[in-house]
Amino acid sequence: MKDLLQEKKILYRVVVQKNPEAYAELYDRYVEKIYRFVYYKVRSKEEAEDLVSDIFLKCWNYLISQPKAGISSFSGLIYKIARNAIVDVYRNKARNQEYPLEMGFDIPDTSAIEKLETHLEIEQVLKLIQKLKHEYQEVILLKYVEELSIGEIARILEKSQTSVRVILHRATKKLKELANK
Amino acid sequence: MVFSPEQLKDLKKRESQLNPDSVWVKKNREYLLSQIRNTTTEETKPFLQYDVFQWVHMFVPKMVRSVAVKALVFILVLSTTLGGWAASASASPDSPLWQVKRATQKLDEATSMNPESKADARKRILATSADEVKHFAQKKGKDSVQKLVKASDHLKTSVESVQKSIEEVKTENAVNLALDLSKVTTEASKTLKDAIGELHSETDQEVIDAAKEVLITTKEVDGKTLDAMVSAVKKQDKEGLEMTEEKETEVKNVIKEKIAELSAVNVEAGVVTQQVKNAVTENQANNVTSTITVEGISVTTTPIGSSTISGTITSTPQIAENVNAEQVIQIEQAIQVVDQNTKEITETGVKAEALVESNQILEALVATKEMTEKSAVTEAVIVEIKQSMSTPAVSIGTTQ
Repeated sequence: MKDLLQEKKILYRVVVQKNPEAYAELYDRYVEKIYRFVYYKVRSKEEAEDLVSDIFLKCWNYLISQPKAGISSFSGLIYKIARNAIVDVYRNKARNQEYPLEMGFDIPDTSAIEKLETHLEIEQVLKLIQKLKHEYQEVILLKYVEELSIGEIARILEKSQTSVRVILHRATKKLKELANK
Repeated sequence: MVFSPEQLKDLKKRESQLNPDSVWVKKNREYLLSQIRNTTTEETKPFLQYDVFQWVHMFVPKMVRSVAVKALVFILVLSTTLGGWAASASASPDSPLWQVKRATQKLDEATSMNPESKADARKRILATSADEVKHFAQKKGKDSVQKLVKASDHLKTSVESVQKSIEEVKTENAVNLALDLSKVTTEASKTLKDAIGELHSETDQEVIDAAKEVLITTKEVDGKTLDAMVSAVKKQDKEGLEMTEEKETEVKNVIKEKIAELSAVNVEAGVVTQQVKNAVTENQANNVTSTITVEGISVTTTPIGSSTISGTITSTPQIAENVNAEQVIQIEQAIQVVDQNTKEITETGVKAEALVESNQILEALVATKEMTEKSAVTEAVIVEIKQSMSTPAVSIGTTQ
């Protein structure tokens, strides 16, 4: 909470005072997260670096050029820009790795998941995750890799918390199915 | 193969490729700073309003903002409503706030739970309606006449409401309520009659029709006021309650005033009909053109054989319309009705006065009511006679 308040103060300095140093502080806080988020999608170090650089620049331009946009969360904005940038990359490559969505959901049985064995190779897991549709990939990554709360994910993806819970449940279930094959 | 979310939690620690190179992070930071510094060369001091806007958006949660906006809108609506209500209290009938005043009073009436407070609310509506009548009666112009018609209708409706209350309130309050009603309607009725008197000089058909309408409503208001008095006295009699001497005197005075007023109208009606009769007789005897003036009407008669009688209203002497022989016959029939009515009104008046003197209040009220009804018919017929003399092809009503 204190950290969030601190972040808001920095954001205020960026938006109102257009302070580059303050923006650099935000960069320090988010660069690794955004890099991972991007790298995971593009799977290329160079491409990820270029994209992250571009994302932070776009974000700055947005913050200083849209003063009336009423930005309340930096994480929401930066992830949104990152997602759009990745979509653009995908569109350019005309590559779509989505798999059909399986219907039906229950309350996520995390205890059951946790009981599963944990000695799966990382690379294999990543490959499995890549077989999921983008929406599932994003929630899995944000929840389990970045360890964000449901509320934060909802803000980033611009969805309701209930909707995020449902997507997460489906994504986890699908991932388990793929792992069991 | 087995999957666990725990494996993913370790991903960022174990997979070096998933994390950026620290040298690149530092270099990119420098690059970013150099880029963004170029975009902030024009540093302008932001407005306080802008600062506040940003502060609210960043630090106040969306839900709180939404609730605050709703609360603000509610306060604004409430203050506007209360402001409008306060301003409407002293609004004039021409003002748009007058409708707010009426609506507030109606709401007050609708929300009054006990009969006494409902009666008070209805009395306030009655007073407002009387003010409305007074206001438009003083105004000139066709538009104001139409508004006077509406105002007199409002007055009638208000009287009906108070009448209802007389049935609902406690017996000991009924007579007081009837007397209050009478005070307001007597004054309003006088105002309306004066206004109608002035309208008789008008030649516009719409104004004349409006005047007729107002006259009928005025008579209805008078009749309903007497009905209310009858109801109040009957209610008191039924409960076996004695009226105080003071109240009895007040009721008697109301009846006496009413009898006096109706008798005066009756005398006036007698004079008018006599003058009309003379004009017709003279016309028939001389068979020549002649002009007479009857209570505000100048009648020019020509031989019946030539089938025309010209009648104009003195205040607008330029206008003279042809009246045919058939209409002269109708005028004569109407005069007979008026004659009969004036005779009966005189008789009933004498009877009513006697009843008042002998303290038979209820009977006196019933007799006065009878006088009012007959007087209403007489006045309506006289208006039609006047109109018939100035406008051809108008049938004269002889129905009672």
